[in-house]
Amino acid sequence: MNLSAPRLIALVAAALIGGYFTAISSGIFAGSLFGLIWGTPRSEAALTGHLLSFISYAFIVIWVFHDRRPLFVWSILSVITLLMTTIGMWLGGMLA
Amino acid sequence: MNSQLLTLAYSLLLAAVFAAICMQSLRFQRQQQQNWLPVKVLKLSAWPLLLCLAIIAIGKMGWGFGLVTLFAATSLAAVTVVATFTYKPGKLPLLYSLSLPTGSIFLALGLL
Amino acid sequence: MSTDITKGTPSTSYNGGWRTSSAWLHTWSGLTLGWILYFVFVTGTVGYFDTEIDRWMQPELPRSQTGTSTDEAANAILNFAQANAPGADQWLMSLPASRNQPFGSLYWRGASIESGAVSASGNTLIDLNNITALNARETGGGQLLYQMHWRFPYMTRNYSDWIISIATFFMFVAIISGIITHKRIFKDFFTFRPGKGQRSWLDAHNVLSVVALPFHLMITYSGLLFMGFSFMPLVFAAYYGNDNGARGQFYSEVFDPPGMVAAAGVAAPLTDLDAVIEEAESVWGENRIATIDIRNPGDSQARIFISENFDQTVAAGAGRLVFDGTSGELLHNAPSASSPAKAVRDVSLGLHEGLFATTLLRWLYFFAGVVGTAMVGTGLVMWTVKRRQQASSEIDKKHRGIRLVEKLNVGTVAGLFVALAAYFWANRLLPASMPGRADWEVHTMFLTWALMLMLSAVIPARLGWPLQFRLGGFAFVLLPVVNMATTERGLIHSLATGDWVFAGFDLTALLCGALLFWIAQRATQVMNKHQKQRAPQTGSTSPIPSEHPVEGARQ
Repeated sequence: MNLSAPRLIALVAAALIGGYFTAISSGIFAGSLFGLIWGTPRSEAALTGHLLSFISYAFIVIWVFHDRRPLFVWSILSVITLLMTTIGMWLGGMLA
Repeated sequence: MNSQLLTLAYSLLLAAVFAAICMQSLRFQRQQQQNWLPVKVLKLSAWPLLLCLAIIAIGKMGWGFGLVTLFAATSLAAVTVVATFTYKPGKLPLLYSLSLPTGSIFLALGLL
Repeated sequence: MSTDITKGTPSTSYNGGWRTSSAWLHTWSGLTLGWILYFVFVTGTVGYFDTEIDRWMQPELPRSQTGTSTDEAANAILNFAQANAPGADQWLMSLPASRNQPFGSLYWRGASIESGAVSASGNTLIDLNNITALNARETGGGQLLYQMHWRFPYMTRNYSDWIISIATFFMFVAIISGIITHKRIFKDFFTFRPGKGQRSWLDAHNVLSVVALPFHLMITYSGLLFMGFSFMPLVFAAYYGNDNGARGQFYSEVFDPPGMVAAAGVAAPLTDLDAVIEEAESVWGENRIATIDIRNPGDSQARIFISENFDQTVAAGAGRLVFDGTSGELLHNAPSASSPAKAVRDVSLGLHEGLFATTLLRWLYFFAGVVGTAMVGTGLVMWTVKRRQQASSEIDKKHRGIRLVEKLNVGTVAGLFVALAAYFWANRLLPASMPGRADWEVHTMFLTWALMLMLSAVIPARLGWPLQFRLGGFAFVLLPVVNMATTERGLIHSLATGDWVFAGFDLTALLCGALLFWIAQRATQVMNKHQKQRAPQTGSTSPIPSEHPVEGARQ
């Protein structure tokens, strides 16, 4: 794996920091979605999102180091995070 | 139902299952000139037995205890079989023929 | 034969794509915090016998009092509480219900010293036969050893939480990327080819990973859940806001037993505990009560929270009953799993802790922990073995990195066992009345570890590996001897009297020592073999990073 230092740093940051926030947003999104579909209270939605966020975090990291294009990876993660957080919190607001 | 006996039974029976699966493998066949048990018999016995064990474990002990017993016994049994296969491959048939009946007895006792 | 060998190995079967990138990620996520993971695995594995180790480390204590009936135990502890902690806000009484709680104990807080309390708050074991506090040497015991695997000593909780969370997450990534990398998991299930250098290490690492894969996955994912509330608080913040009050709101919605009330400040006698116990047992069955938590005893708003013993369920959460503390009326019955998501969490955490496990299953847990430790250990060693083979053909600047990893490996993979044994030695050899004794047990452990790391820094790895494993072997084999010399409960005595906790500890120490000697022996053989293979090629620019350059030059 020949990665130059700046590229490697950009990727590691994308995986660990970018991935962290994307994982959280995916948890919020999935939790709210589950909550609405199954009609659960918000505590349940939060816990469901919590359980799933670790799994998506791991797969995001694997994807980032598979793709290896820092700019592309960063932009995809940013867009997804923004989308899922917004929609997830909007849906979450409807929960009891 | 005695969970201690069942844990013991599963460790033994899974050792038999893994020994059987291992004896089907090409590497084992190549090493041992003659077949101790026809491959067909082993093939027929191992996988259904594993399935039965899983069903009994989950059915009798529930998902939690059943799976935890199954997986815990798996690691011990697999390590035993790998060690036997590596250092004393000739003893695999013996391991199989000892652990299968004793495991079955413990399983019966444990389920009573 | 040679084709057979090259197939199915992560290092040679690259065909680009996911497997290649996963192999790279597997290597680095495993190595970066590998030594922390190794420490976590070792202390966590030992932690499956936490209460047994507790008891070995306090030899003054009597045999466990788990046979005592619920009524008798509860009343004895209640008497102790009334005499020694009057006016308290809370009496948390733990009954000796299983191996997780061998003695009765009382935790109290907010007691009134004017009314005769020994201290405002405290936590003590109670001898149920004569209702006195059980006193023993001060020690962190097995509890502290087990706690080390999720809360590092010498560090604030905040730092330690982050380090452990990240290390656990790296482990999780390493496991998943390892599965993606290793395509022939089931084909290679039984494959271990010893005596073939790098190939053997890879085989061993694969076998150790695959045979206990469900355990590794479960322990790592649930480990993340344990750290989860501090690691990923923002998921909750999205629903509850980010201030402390909001977080408290979430915790109480999910975890609090129903019916918590504030004290009224009006005195009223506590209800008869026997009737409450009887009612609880009519719900759960006999001898199923683990703890009785009395809030505001002696107040008109007293509440009694009774928790079920969780040894009959895998899930970590226990069923709870809430009684009115003055009338004795049953107010709430809260079953353990109140929602599917909480059930998933409870089962994961319960599987991780294994508190439900009976003797044999507990040993299997221990065994799986040993396999996990060996998996991390072989992974760490493999990194250097692989690179050393590459390095011997191309002499490059990477040597310093390989050397550092190798030094850390010897001092941790082997040296940690010496440190662990030192913790137990300190328990027996430090004077019983020494102030700060429990702390010094821990200091001894970490000073020994530091010493082992220093030792590995100055001694070539070729000699360091066998030496440190042998040191660990001696330290463990001699533990029963030290125990026999310093207590009345030596191995012969415990075997003769059927004291299985003590006999079990001593025998395990012997076995562990024997295992370390065996590993030392193997290490010597492997190192000698390497030495012979290399001897003809080594010149003045020794490519072997594990040795002193001077030594290489002399040859």
